[in-house]
Amino acid sequence: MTENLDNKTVISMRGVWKYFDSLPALQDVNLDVSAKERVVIIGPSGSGKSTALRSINRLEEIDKGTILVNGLDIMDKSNNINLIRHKVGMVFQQFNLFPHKTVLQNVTLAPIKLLKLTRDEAEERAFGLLKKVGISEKANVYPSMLSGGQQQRVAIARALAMQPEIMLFDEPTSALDPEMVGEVLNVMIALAEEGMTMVCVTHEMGFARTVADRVIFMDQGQILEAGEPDLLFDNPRHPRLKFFLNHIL
Amino acid sequence: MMKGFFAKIAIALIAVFCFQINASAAEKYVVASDCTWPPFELLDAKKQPTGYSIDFLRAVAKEAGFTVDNRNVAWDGIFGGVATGKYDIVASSTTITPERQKQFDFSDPYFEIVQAVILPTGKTIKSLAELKGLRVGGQIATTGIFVVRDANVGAQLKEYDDVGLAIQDLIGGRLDAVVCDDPVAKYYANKKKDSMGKIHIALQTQDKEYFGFTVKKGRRDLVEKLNKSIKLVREKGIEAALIKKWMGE
Amino acid sequence: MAETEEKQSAGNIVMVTEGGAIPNPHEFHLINAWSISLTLALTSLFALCIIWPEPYLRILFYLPDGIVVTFQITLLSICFAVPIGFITGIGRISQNRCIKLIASTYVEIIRGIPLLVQLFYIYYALSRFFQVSGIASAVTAISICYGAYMGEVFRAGIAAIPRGQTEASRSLGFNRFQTMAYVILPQAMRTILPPVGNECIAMLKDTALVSIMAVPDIMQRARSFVGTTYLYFETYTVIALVYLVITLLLSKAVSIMEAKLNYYDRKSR
Repeated sequence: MTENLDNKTVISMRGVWKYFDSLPALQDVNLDVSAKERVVIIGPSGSGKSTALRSINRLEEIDKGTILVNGLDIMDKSNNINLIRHKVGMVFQQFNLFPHKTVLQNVTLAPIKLLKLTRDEAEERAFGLLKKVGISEKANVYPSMLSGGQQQRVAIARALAMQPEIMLFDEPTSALDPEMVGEVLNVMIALAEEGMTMVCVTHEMGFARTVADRVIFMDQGQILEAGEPDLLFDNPRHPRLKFFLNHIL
Repeated sequence: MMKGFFAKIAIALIAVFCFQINASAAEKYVVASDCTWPPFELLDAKKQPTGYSIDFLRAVAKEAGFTVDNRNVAWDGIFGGVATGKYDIVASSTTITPERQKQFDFSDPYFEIVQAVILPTGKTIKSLAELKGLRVGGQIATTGIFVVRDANVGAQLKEYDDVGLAIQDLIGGRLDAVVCDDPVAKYYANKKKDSMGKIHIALQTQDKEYFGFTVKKGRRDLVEKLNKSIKLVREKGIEAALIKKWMGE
Repeated sequence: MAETEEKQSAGNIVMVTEGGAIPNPHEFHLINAWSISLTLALTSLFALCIIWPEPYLRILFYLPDGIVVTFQITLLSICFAVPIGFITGIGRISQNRCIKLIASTYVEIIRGIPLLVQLFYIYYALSRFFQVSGIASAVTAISICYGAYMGEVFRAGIAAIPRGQTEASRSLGFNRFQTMAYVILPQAMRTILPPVGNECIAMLKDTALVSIMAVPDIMQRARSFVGTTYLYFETYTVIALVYLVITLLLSKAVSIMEAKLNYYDRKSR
């Protein structure tokens, strides 16, 4: 490592390339995220923003470059990726709750099996989190009985149950009916206010504006522009960002 | 061209059909044999049924003035076939038993046998009672099996589709004894290359059994025809020649 | 790129829920056909035995030890075939090329050889090298054969679970084995159980082949009975009815188990 890592930097992507077959999905992506920073990645579909996010916890294996999480190289075989993932929570567009487990079991499964919490400890933690996301009354039902917004809030609670230091959100509201978007965004805003480090891929520009410390615009696998939200939204410089904002707003 | 081709096929089919009608008019009987019972019924090098019973019936047919169409048929379907009229005559070392006589008609006896118990070389028994607890094999639904079952000595009976398979298991050690007709036993013990010397006849029963040609119940005409010619075959010395040909000595 | 993959997995989710919905009308239909068949089979069996105890009752009483042997072979074969099928199924979706190749080759070879030939091969052909009893040969041959079939069932069942489930599990920090054990298999069981149950029933029917190895199962009892009485029609009628009653009861057991495994999305409909 030639870079002198600031000890506050929790995610560091350096010269990251990723190919799907022969098509580049990420082209020389460089991104640093500091502790407690809220980064929002925007861009048209197919721009590689989800791939960039998913490569941070190695759900996508990169082809070139390095990614450090808390200073650990995630591609290095000597670092246990599963332990690194304990500290990186992830929320998916499709919620991906475990359909065969109740809401409570979804939240307690990982703490019990991985953190070796007792059932009581895990349930206490789970109830606290479910209350926080406003869904504690549904603890004993199966996910299929919940609305999309409710499911996504459970998914956030499930990720938080591992007490991660970083949260990754992969278009968390894109699969929701419009009236449910707010309830999920409110949970995310509350989380941001607590000082959670967050990287969020989203199309919710209002959310980006109010919450983000920094907005990243990606297109065709490259980061084309980055900056504070007000600056980036009000004074876009790159023509493709201008084009994108004109079409989405 | 195609029309001509189909016409040729049609003519050929009609020809075959007429030929069959002609053949049946010339009294051709279908004869079923289970060719796993040497030296009475077996297949020759060209996979055609041959053996003592088959030769004997051919001699009978010649005397009686009918022709035969020999078929190789699995033993445990052979009686079903004659009952439904699929075969006219069974020439397959069929012992005449009261039970069988209730269902079928038989010709006069054409051969006399006893049952033989085959053991691995070096082992001996003095009576059927000594089979108690032993694994005794034979061909399914043959009189060998009946004799051991009726003796009720507590032997563990194993019924094979084919006596040859039982002999193989006896040599291999999965059986302690095999019971079958004595000429068949002699064939395996003294003549057949891969079993010769490894097994021997340890015991022969006292009760004589008689082979008869089996026909459908009520076909007295056929029985009479067979009986008359069996007598002729015997008187002309053909029987003696066949015994010499198939049993040796 | 990632987006299209998500859409695919989203498509999978829809497919699975639809698959879960089909059994309801289907099951209702099945129960009808099932109860009619069972009623028919049982009434004909009882009627035959009551009206003509000779020979029908005699045939029925000749069978019990054969039924025991048939069940013995079936149950033992299930005990081996299911684990073999599971390992094969896992092997077929393994990322390790070598394991994948071994599993696929096994399936290809076994599926290409008739069970009857496999039975003969193990019992008679291999007896040159080692001798095993008829029942052991039967269980070995049937387990190996059905292990390959079930491998396909397991493979398909596991592959039908959306990738998002694996990703969610891995993102929490579960390793591949934990993901399989806690997340994928419990869900896959639901899709796997009905076809595995069907394979087990097919297996029971195929045990009729073992009579060629002098194993006294139901079929051989029948053949041996026919061999002394020549009552082909009567005996095989009883045998067919007995097999039918057994397989109908088993298929009911499978569908009950299937319904129980559907607990987690029944209420939402």
